[in-house]
Amino acid sequence: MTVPSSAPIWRTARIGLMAAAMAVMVAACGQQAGEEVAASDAAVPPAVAERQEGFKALGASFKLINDQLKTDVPDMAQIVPAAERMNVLASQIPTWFPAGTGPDDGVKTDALATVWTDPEGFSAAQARLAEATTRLQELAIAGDAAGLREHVKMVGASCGGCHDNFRVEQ
Amino acid sequence: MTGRSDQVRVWDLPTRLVHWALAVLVLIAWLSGGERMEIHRYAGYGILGLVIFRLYWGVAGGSTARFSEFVKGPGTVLAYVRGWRGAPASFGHNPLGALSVLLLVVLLIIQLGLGLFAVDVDGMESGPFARFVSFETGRTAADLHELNFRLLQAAVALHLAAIAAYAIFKRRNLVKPMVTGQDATAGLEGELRPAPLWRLALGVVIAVLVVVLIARAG
Repeated sequence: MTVPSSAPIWRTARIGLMAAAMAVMVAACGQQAGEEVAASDAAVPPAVAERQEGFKALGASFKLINDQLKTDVPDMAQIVPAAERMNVLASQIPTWFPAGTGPDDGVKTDALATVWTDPEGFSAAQARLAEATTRLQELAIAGDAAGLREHVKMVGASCGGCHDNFRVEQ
Repeated sequence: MTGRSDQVRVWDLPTRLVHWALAVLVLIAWLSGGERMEIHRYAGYGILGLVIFRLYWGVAGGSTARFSEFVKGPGTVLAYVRGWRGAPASFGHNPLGALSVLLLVVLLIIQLGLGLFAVDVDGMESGPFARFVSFETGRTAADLHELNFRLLQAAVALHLAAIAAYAIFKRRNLVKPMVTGQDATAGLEGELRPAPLWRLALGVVIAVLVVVLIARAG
């Protein structure tokens, strides 16, 4: 690393570049903060609130299962009802996205319009999760901790696979 | 010391290693965040160890690494800012740069603390302490983890801008001393009082122990 030359034009250019970089970063921070305020202000339609609650319950149940599986002796008495809850919720997903509740309808939602424009793709993604949670419940009832530890990766991939195509990027 | 007589030793090796390891690991954590969570977790543990060591080194390390040596009161900082153009080169951190060090360390500690409790949107990936909190709390931690990272990015940008400003306006190369430990700035006076090796060993043991305990808790 050498000390830069003193040509005035380069000096000006460098300062300009630096200032621009700083401005972009500050603007990015401001925009992010603005978006978060807007999201909390908007009124949430009942159908959207229902699916948000549904997905939060899915995530909470999955977290409970993963937390247990990280311990040496996972508590199946907690895993079994959580797996059952996930399986029930996964089967309900098709009812959570009625027409008119997408981003194109002026609804503040993290769902992408592709949920409604690509119903086959969305349905396939939902079926993949439902299949994975059914197997999850079977393994839980069988008390197979090793099998569960392996299978949760599949469930996680089903969540992520759908989020990649049908949910705004995190 | 051999070679040029106008070179003075400013930064000890542990301080330099921690600095560059932090730069690399924060970059890795940034790129792996939300994508490759296994890598992100290990990067986080590495940063945790480095920050713990740096805090320890800030009280037990070489003189220029010590908070008590470089953190100055508001009066000194203000006077330094007012006379910035003509201020003589500081040996080690200058009074304003000291605040930048504190800011970066504080933001890193907040970032680490939030990451320990963070949960991803699927409930699949989580920090080692996430099992002690609800899914909702873990999600909030993850959101704040993301927000605080923007602040950390801004602080790093400021850090880099300051280095550029010293190079442009004061003809001072701050990068080379952080690599070699030697500062060739003319007229620079000061003496680095290095810490004994056993203090370095103790710091490494403390940092590794705390990281292992935290990782095991998860």
